[in-house]
Amino acid sequence: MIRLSRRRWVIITILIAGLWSCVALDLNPAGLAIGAGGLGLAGEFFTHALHPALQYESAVPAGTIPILLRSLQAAWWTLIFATTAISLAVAIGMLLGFTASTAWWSEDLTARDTTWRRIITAYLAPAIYGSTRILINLMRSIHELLWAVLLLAAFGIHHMGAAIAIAIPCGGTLAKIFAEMIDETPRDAALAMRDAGATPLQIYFIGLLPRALPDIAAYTLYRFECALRTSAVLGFFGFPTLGFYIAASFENLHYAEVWTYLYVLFGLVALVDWWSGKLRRNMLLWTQTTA
Amino acid sequence: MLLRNVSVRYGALTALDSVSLEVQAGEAIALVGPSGAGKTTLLKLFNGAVRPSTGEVSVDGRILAALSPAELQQVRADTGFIYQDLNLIPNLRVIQNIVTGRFGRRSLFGSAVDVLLPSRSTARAVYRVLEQVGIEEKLYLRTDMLSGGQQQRVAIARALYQQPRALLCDEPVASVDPLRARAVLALLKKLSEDNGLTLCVSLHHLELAKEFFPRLVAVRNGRILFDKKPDAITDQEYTEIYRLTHAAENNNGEPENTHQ
Repeated sequence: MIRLSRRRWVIITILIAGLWSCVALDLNPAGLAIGAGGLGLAGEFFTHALHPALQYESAVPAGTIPILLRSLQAAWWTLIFATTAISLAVAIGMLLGFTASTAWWSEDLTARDTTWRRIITAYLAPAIYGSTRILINLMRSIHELLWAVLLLAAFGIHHMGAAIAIAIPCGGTLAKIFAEMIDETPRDAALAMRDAGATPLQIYFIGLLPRALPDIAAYTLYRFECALRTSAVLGFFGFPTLGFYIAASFENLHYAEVWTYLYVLFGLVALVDWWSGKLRRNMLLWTQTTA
Repeated sequence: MLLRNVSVRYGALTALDSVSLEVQAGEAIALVGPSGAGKTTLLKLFNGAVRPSTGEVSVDGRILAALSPAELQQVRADTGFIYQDLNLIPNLRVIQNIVTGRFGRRSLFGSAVDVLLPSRSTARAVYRVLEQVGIEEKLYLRTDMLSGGQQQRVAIARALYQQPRALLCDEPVASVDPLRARAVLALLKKLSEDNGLTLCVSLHHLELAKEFFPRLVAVRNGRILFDKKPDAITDQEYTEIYRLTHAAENNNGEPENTHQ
């Protein structure tokens, strides 16, 4: 019997699980090529990548705006949905991020040992903290698309529904990350404030939050990129983002049109990535500058 | 400030062992001894950041253990502490760091205003404190743009802005070259004389302590070795503490024969 370390057992278990799931799904590369003339279809689709449509592939009603303009318009909507969603998510994240953090009630940052303070530290704060953590996990464990389905069922196609569908899981994630970033902020200055008689709330908002802010902003930008991609996909449900036109053209087998929209989406995502990457780099540089 | 038979234990480790020490208001003393001897713990007893395991600490005749939380907070607000690692917020401006010194006397709203939109009178008060430490032109600079020495002056200014009655300084010259060390100690002496503050400084450099302080308290293994005027220190005591501090430095700061 070979004796394996705990870590090796974990690695072997993961490998076996991976292989087994491939077998369970009956994965076979050959099936992809032969299945139902799929190869021809795939070939046709990908050859259109070389010449995206500059005009509609079939007759359109008079007065329809040109495809290039329409794709830009859809990109604009994609951006608007993502921006609305991230704004809501930041508000949710800041609020729940506070209640999900331990810094404002942790004992080492509490100088004043009053009865009221003891009740907060022992019962009230842990209860708020625990229920926030559960709430955050619920928000995060349901995917944006599932939230969209649920909200569609509840409110129909309403723009607010799409924004909220993105904002809920995104806000949950932001809350979790914000709380962790603030809790992990170096506490030296916070302890100095405590020794000078500051209260935990003063310490949280002035000793810890500003120091975590550059990281918080950088992470929020990253989440904005994610929101943008989701916003495009939500078009599949009928919202006027790029996904809507991609799905419509795809159903009509207008592959050249699909590629036009896809290229605009690539362009939009690349543009936002570039812009937010630049901002994030500047912010990190800004935090690391030392004399 | 008075310590009576104070012991401090962290688990099995005894940081201070039955120490008694009295510091008069307005006095300037240096705590000398190798690192790990208990100097920092001793300083932290005076602002209530460390509680004695046995014995009692009193400040201005009031026993800290008997104070209400609000009174203890008042004692803390009255005591300025300058940390060895400075403990500033690096990405805030100098003025923003300094206003945090007075948070013990400010509401949450008031302190947020101080940080975000300081009033003219607040800015003037901070400017005056910075003048005392000689870097008033750095008022609106980001703290981490300053040199180490300037950052130390910000930390001193923050403690002064607190309007304390005593200044406690933990190893203010530990990582400073000798020339600048003299400037820092002279500044601390001058500030406490000008403002009528009690000054307690921990140092492991005996020569500097002798040069600046009329009273030296040597700490070793959590006990007070001697408590004298500089010229009353015998050669034997001098060599003993000197040997220990240097043994400590040569040992990567790990003192010999401490905490057994």
